[in-house]
Amino acid sequence: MRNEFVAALEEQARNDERIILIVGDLGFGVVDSFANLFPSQFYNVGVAEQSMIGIAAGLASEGFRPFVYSIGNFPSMRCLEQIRIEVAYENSDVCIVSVGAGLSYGTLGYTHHAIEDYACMSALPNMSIITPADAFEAAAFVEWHSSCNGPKYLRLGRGGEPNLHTGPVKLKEGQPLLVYEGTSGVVLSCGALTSDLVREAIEIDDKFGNSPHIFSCPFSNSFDQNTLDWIARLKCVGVADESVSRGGFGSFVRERLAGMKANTQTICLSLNEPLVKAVGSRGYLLERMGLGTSEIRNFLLEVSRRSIGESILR
Amino acid sequence: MSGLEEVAKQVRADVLQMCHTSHAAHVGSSLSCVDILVTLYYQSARVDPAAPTARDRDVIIVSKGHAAAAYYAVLANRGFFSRSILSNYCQDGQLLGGHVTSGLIPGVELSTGSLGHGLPFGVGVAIAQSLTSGHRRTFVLVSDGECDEGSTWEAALQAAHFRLGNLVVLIDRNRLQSLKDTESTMRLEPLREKWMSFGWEVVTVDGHAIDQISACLEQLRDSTKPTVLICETVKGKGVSFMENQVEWHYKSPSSTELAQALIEINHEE
Repeated sequence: MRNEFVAALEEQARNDERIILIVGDLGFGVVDSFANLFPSQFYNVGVAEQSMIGIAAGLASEGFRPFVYSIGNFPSMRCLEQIRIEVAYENSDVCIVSVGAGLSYGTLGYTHHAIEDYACMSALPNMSIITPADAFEAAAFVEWHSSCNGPKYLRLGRGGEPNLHTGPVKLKEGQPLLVYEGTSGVVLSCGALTSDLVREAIEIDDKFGNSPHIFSCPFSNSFDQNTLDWIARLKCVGVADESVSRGGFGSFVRERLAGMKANTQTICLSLNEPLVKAVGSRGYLLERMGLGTSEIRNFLLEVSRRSIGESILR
Repeated sequence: MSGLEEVAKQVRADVLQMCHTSHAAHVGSSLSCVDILVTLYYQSARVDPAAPTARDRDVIIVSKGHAAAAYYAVLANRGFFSRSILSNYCQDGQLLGGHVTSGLIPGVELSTGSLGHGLPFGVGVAIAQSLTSGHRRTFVLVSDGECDEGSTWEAALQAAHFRLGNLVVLIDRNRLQSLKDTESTMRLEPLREKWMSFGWEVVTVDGHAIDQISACLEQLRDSTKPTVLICETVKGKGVSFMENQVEWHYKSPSSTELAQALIEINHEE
């Protein structure tokens, strides 16, 4: 989805000179085209994430619309205080793009796994966290961004994720998108894991015909009021994310529901703790860390079982 | 003499009064950079208190945010907001905190206080200025202790690489940091050579000589490289018992000390 994101950004940059792409010496084969097309709107600031955020905030203070591009935790946790002060509290119009959300970078090791970044970013004021589930959502984010100022943290997959939508989509802030129509129950997900859920949901429906509906939540730390009211009316909701559980997407949903004194049961699926320093592909690590095929299947069936007979009309 | 020495005296008196009233720290750090700030706000930078966010302004970033008392006193005396607000420094529910906070009063470009943030931000502003106008400048006041921060040196690399001739760093070289002198804390010398090797134009000036700072900034207006002024200063400048004493990084003056300090400030030539 990173290629589709950059392609969409190129279209925006063509019409809007305020768009600046700043990279921390990463993006080989991904940002080259942007750099060639718009040399005056492209800066490689070197391997220097703290100052990269400061530079972006300085540009934003002068009316530019910078995107900061790097991978894993480099543009988030490495420079968390810069994001807190210069971007979040200042409400700067900076979009931080982290490629490799979750365990995308598999064999590159835990230094490259972005699994606590959501928790860090969600603690900051004004920060919108956006986690597209496929390339269409990633491209739609750029369109949405064109009319929405403020701090944003975009978590992208590494690339090659299957498409869940059949064509271009439009994002509306705080609204989930239905990506799989099931029978019984509701699952909220974000990011690349969504396609793993859909894959298992298809299997369940083939065998038993009772998979839950699956919604992608690209706006993964905000729901609009209608969505919240809808979730709060459900008997049960499943929440899945490829992150640590503490402070993750599941925590976010639970906090919102608790704040509304809702009776909705929540079943969360996230990485097992304690975390392990395992070596392997994303698929291997998912199996090792609690997000394997059987865990996903059991999770979906449990949501379905607890939601029997419930209408999920929004 | 530019006549601005009288302004600097007033600012020093304000700083002392503010730190006394609110029992606030960092009086020494504030007194050391008063003349630099007065030079910028009264002489060298294009700023307009009536239009603090004007598109054609020069941008001044006070990265050593613990010198908030000096910064606020200069802004107030320059007319960005009423001097009467200074008496509320560090008071509950008021506008002026112990570290520089943006968005509450006019003139503040960035919240600072955590060191090493101002220069990277300034690089971004200077890039923006270079993309939109050939005449605007960015000034960043950093402390010498702040040169311990890696982010400062990241930005030093970047500013030179992007040839930001419109960017000026002023180092308040008072040689004292939080626990003791800079050289026994974390050796900075040869500081001049360090910045030169990063590709900067480096000038050393007397950081209390307003005319000298001002002339230097004018001379460097058309520099093709980013410029750093190493401003040799005295921490606690103007008050004999505060000068070069690390404890005045923390203490606030008692009534007796305030009275003595004000006499010294007002009688200084």
